Amino acid sequence: MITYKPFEMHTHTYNSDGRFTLEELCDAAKAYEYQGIALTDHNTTSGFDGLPETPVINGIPVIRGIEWTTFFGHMQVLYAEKFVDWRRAKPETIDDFTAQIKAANGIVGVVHPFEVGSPMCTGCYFDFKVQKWENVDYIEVWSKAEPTRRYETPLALAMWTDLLNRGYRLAVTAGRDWHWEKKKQHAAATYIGLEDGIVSARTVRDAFRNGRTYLTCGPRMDITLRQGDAAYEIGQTVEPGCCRLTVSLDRNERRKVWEEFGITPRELRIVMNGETVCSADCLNGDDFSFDFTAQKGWFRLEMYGDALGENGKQLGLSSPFYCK
Amino acid sequence: MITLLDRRVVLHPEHNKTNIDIPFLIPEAYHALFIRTAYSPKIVADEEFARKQIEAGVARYIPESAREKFGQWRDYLPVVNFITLSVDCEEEYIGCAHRHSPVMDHIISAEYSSAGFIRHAVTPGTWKCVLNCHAVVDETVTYSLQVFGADKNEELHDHVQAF
Repeated sequence: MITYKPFEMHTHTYNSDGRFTLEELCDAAKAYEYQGIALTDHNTTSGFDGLPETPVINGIPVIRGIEWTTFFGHMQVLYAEKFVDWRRAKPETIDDFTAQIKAANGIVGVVHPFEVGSPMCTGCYFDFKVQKWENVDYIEVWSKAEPTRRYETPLALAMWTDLLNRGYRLAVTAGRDWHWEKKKQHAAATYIGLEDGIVSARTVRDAFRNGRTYLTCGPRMDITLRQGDAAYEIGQTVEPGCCRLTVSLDRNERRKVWEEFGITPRELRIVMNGETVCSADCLNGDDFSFDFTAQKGWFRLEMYGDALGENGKQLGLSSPFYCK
Repeated sequence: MITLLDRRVVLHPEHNKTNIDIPFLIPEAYHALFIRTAYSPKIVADEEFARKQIEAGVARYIPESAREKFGQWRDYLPVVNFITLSVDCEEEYIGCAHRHSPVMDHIISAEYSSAGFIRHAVTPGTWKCVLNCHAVVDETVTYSLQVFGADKNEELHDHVQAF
């Protein structure tokens, strides 16, 4: 059974330029009611030295990762079984390196692709000339704290949508790029669909390779798709034709970490191949269903509403279902 | 302690976004390696030059519609030179100290390594320091690199405390 759990997918400790110890980071994650994190220090996995493959620190499972902090863009690599040298990757050769990571059983994610680059944030803008997007597993579409306020968010969403329209299958993540905790901020969660809710190299790889993620700024979104008698998980492929997507909003889970930021969901939308095909007011009630005709390509769930005093903000975003 | 490497490297903007390999030989096993790095200048002092660099970045990275709020050049000061150090033993990657301080000391040993590096025995063979030149903005940046081998526990403990 697939169980979705909330994660913070982009973190740093003092092993790179963060200020947390791993224990402090996990305690902070617990305060935000995450059920796991990915530790992705810049260009090092020394934070895992001497620890099991997926350590559990103060009750928080830690996904083994590294942030490739290159001169031409940043990428996360999760659970690679051997070191692939980030220093040699260049814009025109990046496909060779993502192929090496895949060969090492690793997961590849592009992060903060539209953050300002050099000289303000060295290498932060994604300049790699990726041709083989099939070697990339996910894109961090919501980057940093308060993603609803950032101009980069719609740019990354458009980049991801364009890749989906071109036929690539990529999951979505949010990442706070958490280096230290100055004050409590609004931070999104990446819910990962894990087999039996277990956090391990095998289940995390399986979740990302099969596209089982969704993002939320507020309520948990339990998403079910049925076509005929069959049920489908996010990331799976349906036949063209009628289907029913149901959404249950759980407004209690992690409520204390988001309600003070004025998060009010108002609308749910089904977006297919870049176009909204149906929508529903979700201000009241928790359970919603959408009947629509799946067409070749992809479709995903989006949630809109208020955040941090602004309205019309994207508050939820699922990885796609696909249609033959 | 034995000096294994003492190198001064002068960097220029043409080194920007390059890695500079500095291999060195460790002839015999040591208990620990101490690595001392320093580069200068860290901050680009010429504010007019920094402004031009930032404005070019704003024009490239930030959409026009977002520039009033996010494109103010002073918000991105200071512009800095940024060089990190990564270390390899033979073909094995030991780690990287991806931090902004221009002056850092590191330890690598089987029992303890400082932040960014895995624990690793200091074995004989060809080791490599790699200068990761993330940003060489100034016309000249001087980088100094010293590597020492130590074979006494007391020295390691002294340095762990000092670092």
